[in-house]
Amino acid sequence: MRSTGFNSVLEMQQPELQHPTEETLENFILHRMQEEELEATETHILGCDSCVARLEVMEIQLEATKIALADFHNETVEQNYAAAKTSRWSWLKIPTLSLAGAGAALAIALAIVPQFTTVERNVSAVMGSEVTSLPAGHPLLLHLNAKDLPDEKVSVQVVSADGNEVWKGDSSIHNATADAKLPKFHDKGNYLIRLYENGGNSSEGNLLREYSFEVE
Amino acid sequence: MTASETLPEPVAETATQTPEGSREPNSRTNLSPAEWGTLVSQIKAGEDAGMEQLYKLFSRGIRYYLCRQLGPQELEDKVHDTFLIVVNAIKRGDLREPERLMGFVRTVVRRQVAGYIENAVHTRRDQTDLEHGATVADRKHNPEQEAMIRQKAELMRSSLRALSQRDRDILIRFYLKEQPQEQICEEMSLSETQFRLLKSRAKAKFGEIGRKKLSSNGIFSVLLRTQVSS
Repeated sequence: MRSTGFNSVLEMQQPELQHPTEETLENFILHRMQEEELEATETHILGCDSCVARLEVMEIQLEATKIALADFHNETVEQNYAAAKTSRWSWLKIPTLSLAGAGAALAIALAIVPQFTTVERNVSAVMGSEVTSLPAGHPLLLHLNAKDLPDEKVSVQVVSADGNEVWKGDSSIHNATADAKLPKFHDKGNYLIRLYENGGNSSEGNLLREYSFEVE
Repeated sequence: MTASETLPEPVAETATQTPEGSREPNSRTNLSPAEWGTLVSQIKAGEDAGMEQLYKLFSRGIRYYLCRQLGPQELEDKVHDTFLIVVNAIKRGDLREPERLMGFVRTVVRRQVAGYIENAVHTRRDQTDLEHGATVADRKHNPEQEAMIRQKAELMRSSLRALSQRDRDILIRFYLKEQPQEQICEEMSLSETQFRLLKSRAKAKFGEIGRKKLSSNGIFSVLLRTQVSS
């Protein structure tokens, strides 16, 4: 069966009949779509082999891009750190009291301040093999992907790998994101973080999303 | 004859690259209302031709969608279950407007995904000796794909050095840190249009550098295509 004269009208009524642009497909892969656009794109993809093929190619391309960017970023951070370290030692070698004091203060700051530095991450719901890794001993600010959920107040619960609740608090969904400010986690291991409808709890509230992260 | 007996085997087809935003002449879901009606009638009547066409239309898309959302575990079973639900719903007359079949299939697939995730969450919650990752879907690529990704990443990394700091910053923020566009615009003092333009140019430069380095490789073709569309 092939298209007929009805199709021009049908395509106008049903945008899913038009192939999405590369940018749209990229946003689909990156989970960066509004509901209306997502509906049209998903509906199209379900019935379009060629767009599925495009997505499969793009997924690999984007994954390679992320790896390249991550490697480069880490490299840059390490270089900056090494440069800062060298610079710090050169300061300490200058035998003046004031500079030695400044060096000592800097050393103390470097030892103490990081423990108070909040680590910030974006976290997506449990789907696929991605597990967000977080350092132990830092306050955490997690931006939880709450796509498709309405803006509302929610309860946040963190459970350890053995299912015990280790933290609970409130948050609210705004622009498809719920921010969770978590205390320091000193115990390394895997944790699950859950979003419940406001007022809910682990035993009776409606579970909205579940995420996982690893403290290392 | 039941639906479960009549689902045909997946049909391997060669996908064709399509221009962005175009209407592919041979798009298989580009059916007229009458053709959708015929298809739905055939399925209602339990005719093999209808079942076969339904499977041809949606099998690859459904398989991709379910795999993306849930991972490859028991994928064939899930695809099969989805088709059964669609076919049975059509037979019951749940689909009142045949030309809305695509949206109907999407609704069914989304419900299936939600059901599987909910089930996995409850299963995990009920387990006392939880081991992390035991029920998390595995979306790893196969070894060939992994090697290809790693090779591409190596080549891309060398190209990144040639970009300006600002271009790299945009790419890192958007793709690596997954920052929302609004946040990037705010922190880099950009308007939405400027952001789109800069990202597009950064990707273009990235692709151009890669193309020069690997003129015959074609690895950066997707980025180049993306840039053209932006």
